[in-house]
Order: sequence, then C-alpha cells, then structure tokens
Amino acid sequence: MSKIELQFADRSIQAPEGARLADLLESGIDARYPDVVGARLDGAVVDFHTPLTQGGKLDFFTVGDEDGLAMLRHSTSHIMAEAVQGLFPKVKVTIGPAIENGFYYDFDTEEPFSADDLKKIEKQMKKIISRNQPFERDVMAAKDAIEKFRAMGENYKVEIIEDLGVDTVSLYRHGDWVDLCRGRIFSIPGR
Amino acid sequence: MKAFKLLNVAGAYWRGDEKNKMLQRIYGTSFPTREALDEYLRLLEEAKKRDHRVLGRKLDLFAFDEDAGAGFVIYHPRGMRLRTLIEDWEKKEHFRRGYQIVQGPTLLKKELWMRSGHYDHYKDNMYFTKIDDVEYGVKPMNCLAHMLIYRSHLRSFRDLPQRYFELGVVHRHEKSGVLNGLFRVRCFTQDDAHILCTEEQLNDEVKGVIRFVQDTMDMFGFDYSLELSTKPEKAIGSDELWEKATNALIRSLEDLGLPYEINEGDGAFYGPKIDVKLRDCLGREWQCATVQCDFTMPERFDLEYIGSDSKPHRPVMIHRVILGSMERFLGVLIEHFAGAFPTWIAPVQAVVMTISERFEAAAAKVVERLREADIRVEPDFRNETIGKKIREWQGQKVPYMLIVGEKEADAGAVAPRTRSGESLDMMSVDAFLERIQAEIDEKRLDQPKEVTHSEA
Repeated sequence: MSKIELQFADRSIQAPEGARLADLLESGIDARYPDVVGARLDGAVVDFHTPLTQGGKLDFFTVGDEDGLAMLRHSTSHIMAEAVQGLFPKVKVTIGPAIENGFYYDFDTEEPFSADDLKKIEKQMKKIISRNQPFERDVMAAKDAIEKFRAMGENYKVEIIEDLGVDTVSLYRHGDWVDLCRGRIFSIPGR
Repeated sequence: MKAFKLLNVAGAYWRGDEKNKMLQRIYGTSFPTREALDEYLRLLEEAKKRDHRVLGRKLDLFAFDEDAGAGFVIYHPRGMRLRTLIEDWEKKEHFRRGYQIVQGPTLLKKELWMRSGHYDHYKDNMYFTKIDDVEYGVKPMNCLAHMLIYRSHLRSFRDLPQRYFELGVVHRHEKSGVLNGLFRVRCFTQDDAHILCTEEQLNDEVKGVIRFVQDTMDMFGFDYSLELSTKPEKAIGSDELWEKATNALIRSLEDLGLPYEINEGDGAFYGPKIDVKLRDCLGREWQCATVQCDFTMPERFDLEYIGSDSKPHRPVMIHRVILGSMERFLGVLIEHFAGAFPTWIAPVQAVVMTISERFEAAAAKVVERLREADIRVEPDFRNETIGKKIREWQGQKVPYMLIVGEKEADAGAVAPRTRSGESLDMMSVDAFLERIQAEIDEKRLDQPKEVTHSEA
C-alpha cells in the first residue's frame, strides 16, 4: 500500500493512502481531539469518514470554525431529511446544503408542511440524535447508485447523479437512512 | 448537534427554475451551544420587527405591485423623499471630491456590449429589445457611456484623472424565485463612478475612494470590513495586468493601514476589486461599496492620453460605487434604524398637531414658519384626541411632534415631543427651529437627550 505525506504545523507524517481522519486522530495527532470535527487538506474540507487519497497540508478545525459550523449544519440537514422521511414516507428528497447561519433541505411533497409538522419533525430529529448513532460512508458505482435511488423512487437523486457524470459516488448512511453526499458530515450526531 | 431549531418553510423551485416543480424548503439553524442558538434566535426576532418590506408598507415608503411586475420598485412620496435626500447629499460630496456628473442612455446597441465583453460574460443577466431591426441591450452597468465621454476629446496627461459620476439606473435579470424586497430587484440605481487615470495616479485615486467610503460609513454610523477579491476563473486580460492591478489595490489598503481579508477568485471578470461590507445594528453584513481596477476596458475601447513625452498612453480605469445599489442601501437603512431615520433624512421631520380645533389658526402659523425654514413639516388638525394623534405619529417614527394647545397658542409657541416620547418644555418657534436645525446640520444619528420633564 502506498504512503502519502501529511504536513502539520510542527511536523510531517507518512500515512497509508486511504487513511481517514478518524484513524489519524485516534493516534493522538491533534491535542484538541475529541473537539476536532474535521480538517482542511490544502484548503479543501475533509470529514472523518472520507479516505485521503493524496498528501498535503492538513489543518484541523473544531466546530467553532467556519468550516466546522458548515459541517454541523450540513449534517443537521441530513438528520432533518431522515426525520421528514420517517414521518412522511411519501416525501422525496432533493438537496440540503449548509448556508450562512443555518441550513435548508428541499422536499417534494404533495402537502405543504405546517407549523405543527415542523414541531413534529423537530421532535423526531431530537429522537434520532439521541440514538447517538454514527454516520457511515459508503462508495458505490454511479450506475448502481442510480439503480438504488430509482428503486427507492428518489428521482431527484437519480437526476443529480446523472448530471455529475462521475464513475463513483459517496453515500452517507445513518441507521437505515441513506443520502447521496459529497462529504463534510459529522462523525457522531450526538456530539 | 443538539442546539438546533427549524425556522420556517418556503416554496422553492427545483434548480431555481420556475418551469420546474415547486418544492418545500424547510429552513433551520444549528449552533455548537444552546447559548449561541438562543442569541441567534433573538437577533432573528429583532430582524423580523425591522423587516424593511413591512416597514416600507407601514411608513408608506415604497411598494411592489403584481400589476406593474415583480422586482420593480414603486417609490411613494415619503420613500422617494428619503432617497432624494441621500442622493442630494451624495451629489454634493462628489462635486467636493472632484467628480463630474454625467448621464448615459439606458439602451445601447448590442454591438457595443459585445465590444466591451459584457455580452459574452453577462448576457444571461441582461434585457434586450429591438429598435428598427437593430438589437439593443438595456444597460446592466454604466461604464460604456462613460468611456464614450472620455474618448470624445483628445486627452492629455494634464486632463487626468477624469472622474465621471452617475446615478445610473441599471437593469439586471434575476430569477423570480430570488427577488426579495429592496434587496434583490430587477431594476436599481447605482451611485456609480468611473475614474480614468495614469498608472502613477492609481494609488492616490484608490485611496481617495476608500476615504470617501469611510466618511460615508462614519456618517451613517455603520461599522464595516474590507475584502480584496482576486482573479476569477473566467477572466479577460493578461496575468501581468492582473498582477499590476491587484498589487495597486493592496498597496492602497496598506498605505491607509486598513485591515482586509483576501477572497481568492472572487474578482470581476475584468479586474480585481475591493469590497466593503457594512455591518448593521443586528450584526448582519451587507455588501455596499466596491472599487474595481480595470486595465482591459480602456484597451477594448482604445482609450488614450498624450503623455508628458508627447506619446500616446493607455489610461487605467477604476469602477466604483459607494453605497452600491440605492435600493439595497435604503433597505439596509430602513432595517438598521427600524424606520426611525436620523432627522436630517427623515421624510417628515415634524408634525404640528392641535389639541382642539380652537388652536388651528395658531398651529397653521407654526406650520408656515417651519415650511419657510425648509423643515419637512405636516399638519395634523384632525378632530381626534391628542393621545390618538401622538400614537399614530409615533408609529410613523417622526422625529418631532409639536403640540399646540391653549398655552402654546396664546404664546405663539410649541410644546415639542421627541420620537422617544420625551416631552420638552414649551418653546418659541425660533428656539425649536434653532434646535432642529443644529440636529440637521450636524447630521446627528440620534436626537439629543434633554429631559426637562417627562410624560408617562
């Protein structure tokens, strides 16, 4: 297995290609662990789940950092989508990014959501978060992912994958729920 | 992830395209701690109270009408008065700083837009029309006419810098889904200027613009931050020119000793820029001023000046706006002051109100005196209780309510009441005029606090 070189503020290390941040942190690489939530590799944000395929300058951050906050919010939007589909199974998911000061998720639903629905969704989200389940990242061939989402009736996800024009896509699972996602997801929602 | 809250639901088109299905967008927020979340929710509540669209209706400043079309503002008298006051002040400031006022046409031939590069880089945001089988573009920016003005004469280095200022009305296409009050419209006015100067003058000119911005921000009471944006992916002009322009901007910021952040790749397609973001009383940031260097537009239009060496040279162009979009700035102003504008720009500065019809004649004289002194005054001689009148005008955030009852009518005086509800001792009209004029001349952001006696 080939090695990649990762540079920190005070030193460099050699890590196996495909190492994930979770693996590196457990070996005590940043004193702020377990408050660290992600890192920037040459400026690009990587989360705990994503395997590193190349070396570079690694800059860890906590949740108070701009990128950390975006990660927090993006992950929360995943939880929200999971809650929505748990309560309203007929609803289809589209995209849910982090934005300044928050996040959103767009849903395809016949019935608009009421203020009561929002309260129900919040409650469901709290339940999901208290399970303290980790997110898990999977990689799938684009063709297979398209089949998978098509079978689930999630035509928007199919459209997104088709437009990406890539060979493989990453999926993030949380318990039974899965979403197409490029990354920047928390490791444990309860934290 | 425990500190989160779902905020609201809105409609949103799939991929932002009205031809697609309307989806339900759930907005939420989350923060690392409960305290941070609560603080943010408090700010959101406060912002809702100050929503410029709500205040715009309540204070009768402006409106939108489906019949007229989305994204096009209709200024009502008080809103236009407010805008005119700010524009008048701005014109004066420009003249003082050596700018010349100009105005270009709204429609220009498509060929000209192709020459400038706007057609290629900007056509999706432009509106077009045909006149006698010739295609015209509705201007999304004001630069073109300014360059035509520059090249209408042979210029010498002694003529530089040329500074052209225009309150330019521009049109930019926005998708209907993103239109938002005064903040995102399809037609707006920019306090736009173009400076044509020599490379040696660039540093001083940019510093001059930044100082203009600083004075303006200080006057309105805004905090601000500066950002430098560098070369984007889609750009025109050589690397060498880009480096020269970027360094010139950096040098100006460093000379003034101002802190700034760098935004890699966020520059305009024709040059790097300095953006100024103001911070309102809720801590929100708004883009207002921009200073953009441009080495390429003068080349495309073959602009020249004769140097001291008697040879032709290419001038440098700076595009700059101070407030940015008047519409957007007004929206920010409305929310920042929650409609309680400083006296010098308040559309109505004083209301003269009678306690009963008996005092109408005396009150009318007061109104006349104030009008003569160019105070924006309105009479309220209705047959209503004084309590009701005070409540209504307080709701309109008028800086001064001048009450005329028996004592005042007999003395030919007024009993002023400030916007915050303080009652001042009865004073002569002259004394009141002196007081309010000082407030106007100093452009005071708040009314002087003088509690002589307070009414509950």
